[in-house]
Amino acid sequence: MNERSPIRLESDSAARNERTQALAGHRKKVGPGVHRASSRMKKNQMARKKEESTTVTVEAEACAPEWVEILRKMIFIRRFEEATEQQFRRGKIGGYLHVYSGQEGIAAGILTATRKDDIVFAGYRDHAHALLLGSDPGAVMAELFGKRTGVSKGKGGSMHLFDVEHGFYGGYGIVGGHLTLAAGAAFALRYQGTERIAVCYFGDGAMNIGSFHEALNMAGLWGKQGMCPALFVIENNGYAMGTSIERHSAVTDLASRMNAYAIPNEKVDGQDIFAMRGAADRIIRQIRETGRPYCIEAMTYRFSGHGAADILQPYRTKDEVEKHKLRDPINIFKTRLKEVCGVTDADIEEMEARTAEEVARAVQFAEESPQPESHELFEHVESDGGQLG
Amino acid sequence: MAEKTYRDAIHEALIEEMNRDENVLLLGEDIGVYEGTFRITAGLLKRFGGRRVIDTPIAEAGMIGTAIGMAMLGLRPIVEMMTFNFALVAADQILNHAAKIRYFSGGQVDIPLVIRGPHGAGVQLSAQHSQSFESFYGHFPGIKVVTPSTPADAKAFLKTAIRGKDPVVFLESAALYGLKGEVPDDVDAVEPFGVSKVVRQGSDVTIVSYGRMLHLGLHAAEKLSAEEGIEAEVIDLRTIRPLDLKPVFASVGKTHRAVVIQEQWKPFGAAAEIAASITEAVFDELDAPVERVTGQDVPMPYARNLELLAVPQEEHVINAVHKVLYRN
Amino acid sequence: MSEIFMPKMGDAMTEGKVIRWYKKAGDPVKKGEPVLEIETDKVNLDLEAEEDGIIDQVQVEAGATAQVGATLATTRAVGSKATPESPAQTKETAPASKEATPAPARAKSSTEAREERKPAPIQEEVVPGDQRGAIVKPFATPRETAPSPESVTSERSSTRSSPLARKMAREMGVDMARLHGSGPSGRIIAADITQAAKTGAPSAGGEAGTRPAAPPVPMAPMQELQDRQIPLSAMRRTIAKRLVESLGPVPHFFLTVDLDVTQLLGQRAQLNEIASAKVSVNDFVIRATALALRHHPNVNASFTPEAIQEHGAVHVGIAVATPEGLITPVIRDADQKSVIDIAAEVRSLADRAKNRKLKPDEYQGSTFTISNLGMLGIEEFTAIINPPNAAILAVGAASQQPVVLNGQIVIRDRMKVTMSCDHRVVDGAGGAEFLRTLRQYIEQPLRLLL
Repeated sequence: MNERSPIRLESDSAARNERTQALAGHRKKVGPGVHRASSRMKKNQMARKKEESTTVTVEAEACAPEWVEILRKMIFIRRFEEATEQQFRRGKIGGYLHVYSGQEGIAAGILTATRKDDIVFAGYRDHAHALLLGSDPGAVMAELFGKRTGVSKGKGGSMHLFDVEHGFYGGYGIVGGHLTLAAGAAFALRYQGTERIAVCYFGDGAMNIGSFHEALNMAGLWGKQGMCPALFVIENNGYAMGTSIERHSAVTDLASRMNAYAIPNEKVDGQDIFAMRGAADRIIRQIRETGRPYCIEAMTYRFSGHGAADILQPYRTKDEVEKHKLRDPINIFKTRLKEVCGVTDADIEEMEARTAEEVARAVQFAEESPQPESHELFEHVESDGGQLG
Repeated sequence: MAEKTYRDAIHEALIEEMNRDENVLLLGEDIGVYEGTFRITAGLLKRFGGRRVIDTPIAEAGMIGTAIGMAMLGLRPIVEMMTFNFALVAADQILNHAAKIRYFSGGQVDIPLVIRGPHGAGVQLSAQHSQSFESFYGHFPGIKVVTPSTPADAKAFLKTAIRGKDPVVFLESAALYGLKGEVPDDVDAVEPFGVSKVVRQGSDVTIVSYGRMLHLGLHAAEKLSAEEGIEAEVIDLRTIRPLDLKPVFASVGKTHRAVVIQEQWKPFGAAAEIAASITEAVFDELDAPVERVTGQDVPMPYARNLELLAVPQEEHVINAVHKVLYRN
Repeated sequence: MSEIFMPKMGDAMTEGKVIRWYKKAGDPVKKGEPVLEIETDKVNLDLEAEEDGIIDQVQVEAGATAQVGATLATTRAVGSKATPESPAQTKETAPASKEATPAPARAKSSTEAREERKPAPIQEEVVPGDQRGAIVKPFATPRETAPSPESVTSERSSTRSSPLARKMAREMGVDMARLHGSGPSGRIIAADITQAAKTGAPSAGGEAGTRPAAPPVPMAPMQELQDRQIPLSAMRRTIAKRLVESLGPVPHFFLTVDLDVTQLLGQRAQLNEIASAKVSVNDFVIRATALALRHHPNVNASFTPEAIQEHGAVHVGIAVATPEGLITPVIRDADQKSVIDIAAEVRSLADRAKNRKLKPDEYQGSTFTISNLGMLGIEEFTAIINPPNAAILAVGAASQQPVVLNGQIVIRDRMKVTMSCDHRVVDGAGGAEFLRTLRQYIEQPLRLLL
C-alpha cells in the first residue's frame, strides 16, 4: 500500500474476505436466469477483464440501438458524480454528498425499462435516478450547489432531488423512511385505475429499520388484492454506511427476507446491465399486470466512500475496492457493446468527450445560477405559507 | 342547524366528504370490521367498501407513511389514530416526511393528509395513553394542528382539513365525543384555520384555551361571574397551528391580565408560547404576569385520585384568575 | 495550466493545513503522483497531481493553512514557460479559487496570524473607550438611542411595578417613586396608580385656611369609566420624544427655594383693580424670572457639543396644558415687557395653544421655561428641562404658612419654586445665585415695576 496515497486505508483484509465469501454464498441460491450472471461475476473476480469479455449473456446477443444510449447515460452519470465530488472538494457543494459510482447498472437497468408515467422513490444516493428519469443535469447540479434553478429550487440539496414532472418523487434522507411512501403511492396508482407502477430504491442498510418492515408487510398485504404495483429494489452494496452486511443483518440473504411479506423476489447482478435490464423488463411487466409488488436484490459495490466525508474508510481495504473496480459496470458494458454492437474505441472516446462537455455545462450552469432569494425561505412551507400567525 | 354530538359531527363529516370526493379514503386500526374503538367509523366499511375503508395492521409508521404516498399522488387519505399516543411510532413519517416534503421538493407536491384521533387524558388510561400533543406537533412548521372544542368546529374543521393541501394533525378529545352542540346542516360548511374566537365576553381577565380545556375555562368563568362578579373573557384558539392570537392581544388590552389553560405538561408547552407572545405583543398592557394552568409535570398515574391531581381542574383556573387580579 | 487546491474532505471542513511539499517549483509531476501532504481536522492525506505537468508555483508554504478551494500550487504543461513569480500572490494570500468564492481565502501560518493580530488594524479605527473624548462610532451611544420610557422610569424608581401601571403612571403624571405597591413584593399595579391619581392631588384651596387664597375650586367631575384606547397624537409623540431626550442625556439637578409672596399677592390684588387684563401670580413670576436672567446670562444658555451658548435675548417659554398635552408658547423678550403686557400675551398664547392655533415661531426658540402647577394645587414639583434650555422653573401653589418672623409666628403667603438645571451648563452655585436674585424680585415686587 502506498504510504502517500490520498486515501489511507487499513491493510487488514479479514473483513474483505468475509464479504467476498458471503457474496459467493448468495450466488449459489439464486435462480437459473441470474445464475448465469453470477457465475460470470465469480470468474471476473478472480480473473482478467479479457476472460470476462468472452462471457456474453443471452440478453446481449443482439444489439439494440438503445444499448448504446444506455452506455452513454451510464458514462454521463459517472462523469457527473466525479464532478460533484470535485465541486464538493472545492467547497461549492455543501452538506452531505453521496455518489453513485459503481452502482450505475441498477438505476440504468431499471429506469430505462419503466414507462414515462411510472414513478420513482429513492434514498439519499439519488443523483443517478433523477438523471436517468430525464431531469435536466444543470438543474440537478444547481440543486447540489444550492441554487434557485435547482430541481428542488435549492431547498433540498443532494439528498432531496425531486422532479415530479419526470416521475421522480424524491430522494429521502431518513434511511427506510420512504418505503412506506412508495407502498402508498403504488396503492394510489391502482386506486386511480392506472397501470402505472412505483419503483422504490433503497440500500441493504435500510432493511433493519422498523418502517421497512411496516411498509413491506402492508405492500405484501395490498399486493394480494392487486393493489400495490411496486418494485422494491435493494441496492445491496454490502455496507450500511460503514457496517458490512454480515455485521448488520442476521440473515444476509436479503432477498429471502421478502418471503416474510409474501413478496416475490430475486437476486440480480447489479454490475451487469444486461442482467439488470433483462430482469427489469420481465418483472415490471409482471407487476403492471398483477398489481403485486416484487423485489429485486441488486448486488453491487460502491466505489466511492459512503459520503464525500468518508475519507478513511476504515471498514474496507483499498484492495477490496480495487478488486471490485475490476467489475466496473461501465467497463463490462463497454466491452460487451464492442462485441455485440460493433462499438469502437473511437466511438467510446467521442462519447466520453461529449459527456465531459455536458457535465462541464451542467457545472457552469450551476455556478452561474442565482442563489435563492431571501423571501424564498418562507415559500413552500405549507400551501398557504403556513407561518405561525 | 341541528344538535349533534362531537362524535356524530366527525362521523358525518367523514361520510359527507367521502360522498363528495372519491379520492377521500380512510385507513386505521380496526376502523372497518371492528367499527372503531370510539365508533367514529361505525358503518363506514359497509357503506364505502374495503377499498376506501382500510383496516391496517397495527403499524402506525406504515399506515401514515403509505397515506403520505397516497396524498402525494392526489388521494385524500384520513388516518385514524386509535389514540394519538400511538402516532409517536410514526413521528418520523409525520415530522420528517409529511411536514417537510413540500419544502424540500421546492413545492412540487401537495400532501392532503389528515391524521385524526383522540389525545389527552381519559379516565385511568395511565402513562402511555393519556398524553396531549398539540405543542409537540405545533412546534413543527409544515403541518397544521387543529384542536376543535365544539361539534360544529369538529365537523367544519375536519372538512377543511380533508379538502386542504397540507398535512393536518386533527386532535380530538375522547372526553368531548359525547358533547352536544348545534351543527350547521350545510354539507359545505367549512371553517378556515387560524381564526380564534371570543366565546365569552368579559372585562376583568382573559382566559385562553382550546379543545377540552376550553370548557374548563368556560365553567370557571361562569362560576367567577356568579360568585364573585368577576367577568372573564374566554377565547377559543381553535387551531394551534396556524395560531391566531390577535383576539387575545385585543382582549388583554382590555382586561390587562391573562390566564392560559393547557392539559399538557408545563415546560415548553402551548401556554408558554401563548404567554410569551402576549408579553411580546402587549407588554405595556399587562398588570400581572400571565398565569398558566397546566397539568402536573409527571407521567399520568393510574389511580383515579392521583390522576385527578395531575390534570387541571376548575379550582386551578379560579386560583389563577385570583392571582392575576391580586385577589388571593 | 492547472491548479492544486485545498480540497474539502469533510462536511464541516472550512480550511486545511499544508504539512509538507513533496515537490517544489519546477519539479515534474505525473498524474496520480503525491504532490503534498495536508492535514484536516479529521485526517492527514496526500494530494495527487490530477495530470502530468510541472509545478509552476507553490502558493502556500508548508505549515500554513488555507481555506477550502484555495489554490495551493499551480502546474503547467511540460515544455511551457514558467510564470514569473508574483510576490504579492505567493507571499500574502492563497486566494480561495479562481472561480468566485465569496470570501478570499487567507492562508497564513498560525504564528503569522498571531503576529498580525498585534497591530490590530480594526482597533485603530475604534478609539478605546478609556481615552477621554474618544468617540466610539460603531455602537449607539446612549445619546443616540433615546431610552425607552420604561428605562426612564426605572432610573427614577427601583420599586416593582406592572407594565400597565408604568404606562398609566406616565400618562397620568403619577410619580411612582412615592407609591407603595399593593401587589406581591410591593409591586405597583394599575389599581395603585388609579388610587394615587384620585387622592394624590389635593385641591388648591387647602382644607383649613383662615383666608381663602383663591375661590374654591370645584371638584373635577366624576366620569363614567370606560375602556378606551387613546391613539397617540403627533403632539403626544413629540412630547414623549422630547422629554425622553431631555431626561435621558441631560444631567438634571434640582434647587428648591421657598419664597415669601405676601407682598406680591398684595400688589397683584391692587393691580387687578386697575388693570384691564387680569394679572396672575405666574405673570409676575415670568417678569421676575426674565429680569433675573438678565443678571445671570449663564442660566439663559444652551449646551452644544462644542460650546455653551449664551443667548442674546430672554425668551421665556410657558408650559401650557392642552387637552392633547403640553406645549410651551414663548414670551419673546420677556425682560422688556411689563407684567400687564406679559399677562395679556400669555392669555392670548394660551388660548391659541388650547385651540391648536399656535404658529411655530410662537412656541419655538425659548431660552428658559417656566412650568406652573400652582393653580392645580401642586405645592412643589420638579420639571423636566425643555431642551435646548439649560433650566426650567417649576412653580408651586402659593399657600398660607406659619412662619417665624422676627421671633414671632406669623401667617405668610409662601410659594415654593424648584429649578431643574442642566449640570453641563449650570453649576449648583450658579443656579443658587440665580434663585437668590429671583427671590429678591419676587419678595420685593416693586423691583418688577422698575
